[in-house]
Amino acid sequence: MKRALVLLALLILAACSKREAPPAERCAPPDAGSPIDPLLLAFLSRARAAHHVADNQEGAGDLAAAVVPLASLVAGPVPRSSGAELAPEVREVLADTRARLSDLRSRLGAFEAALADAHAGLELAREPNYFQGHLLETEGLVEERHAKALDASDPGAAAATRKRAIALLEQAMAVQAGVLESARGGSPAPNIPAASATTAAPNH
Amino acid sequence: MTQLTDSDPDLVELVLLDDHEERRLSTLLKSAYAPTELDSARHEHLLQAALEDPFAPASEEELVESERLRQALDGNGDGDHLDLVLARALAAAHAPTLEPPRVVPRLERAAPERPPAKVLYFRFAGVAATLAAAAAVLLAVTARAPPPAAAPELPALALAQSRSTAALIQADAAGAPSTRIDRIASLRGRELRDNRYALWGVR
Repeated sequence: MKRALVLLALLILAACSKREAPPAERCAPPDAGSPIDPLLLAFLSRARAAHHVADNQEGAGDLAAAVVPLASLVAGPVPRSSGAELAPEVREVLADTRARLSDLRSRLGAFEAALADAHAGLELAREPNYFQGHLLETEGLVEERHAKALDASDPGAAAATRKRAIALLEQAMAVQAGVLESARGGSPAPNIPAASATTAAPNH
Repeated sequence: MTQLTDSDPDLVELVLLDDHEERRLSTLLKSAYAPTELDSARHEHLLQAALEDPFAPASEEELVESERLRQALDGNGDGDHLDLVLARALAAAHAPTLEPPRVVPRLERAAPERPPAKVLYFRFAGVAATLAAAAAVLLAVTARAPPPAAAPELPALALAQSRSTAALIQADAAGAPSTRIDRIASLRGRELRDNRYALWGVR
């Protein structure tokens, strides 16, 4: 009987312990995903190589050739951390690559494609952090270049495009100010309502 | 309902432990369920006593034995492997389930003096009633608990997790895109190595 009582006590103890939240729920950071694994590193390695190839092409003045490895990266395979969700690093590296593609394509005069890249990047950079601010800045610069290109042929469209460029650059400044404040121990980065692909989309 | 008799073979299993054995079993179960921190000096001493060279390659015998244990844990090999029995007992003590217990090999022991049949009958009834009450409590409490599938495995908690890299990149000193990916890939590469060492138990 004594043994049975010990067993009963242990079973109750074990059952009650199940009611506590698992340690991961108490301790894990909010954006924590799966443990870092070789698949994530394979993607990062591919991304690193693509950007260095693009560096070499851009350094040689061949912007069209610089686009190729980056376009291949964003269209290529990506690791999935849990279910269908992309790991935070993967989203951020893809967003940063979209920003670079947007810059390169706008310098080639392909403004529609450049804006599409910026919007695709903003879909990936959902939080107000450096990457989102950089995409807004890039989109603003794309619109600025586009406005210059329109100056001679269509002054009205150029003025409207320049206005959008200024709005986007101001949003970028606000997001990056929030990032800097947050890094220096101030209030968290603000959630800028206009900082999204939808609201930042051009009207043409 | 079947009438229990002195010749019922199930009654032979209900052998009372002596006080010493009962205390030892209780301590083992408690330690398995809630292990305490091992004193570092004692840990070092145990390592030295157990391992002549912890980084030496495994011997042929160790490789064969570890393969046997791996297959037993996968359910493909020796179901009577003693380490398998111990591993299951520890796992059950840490995270009890309502699944029926697995068949374990009968350990040879000296035949104890058999108590009188009537005493045995009442003890059986008492133990059965207590276990039924424990099962009822277990059912009532675990029914309100979240599904166990939602909880990550314990070893995963000690590993570096995939997470945002935004904190690595300062908005006022971000550099070129290739500089950013260099930093991200280098850091995550180091963390993957750390994870491997942690899984090998050498961190």
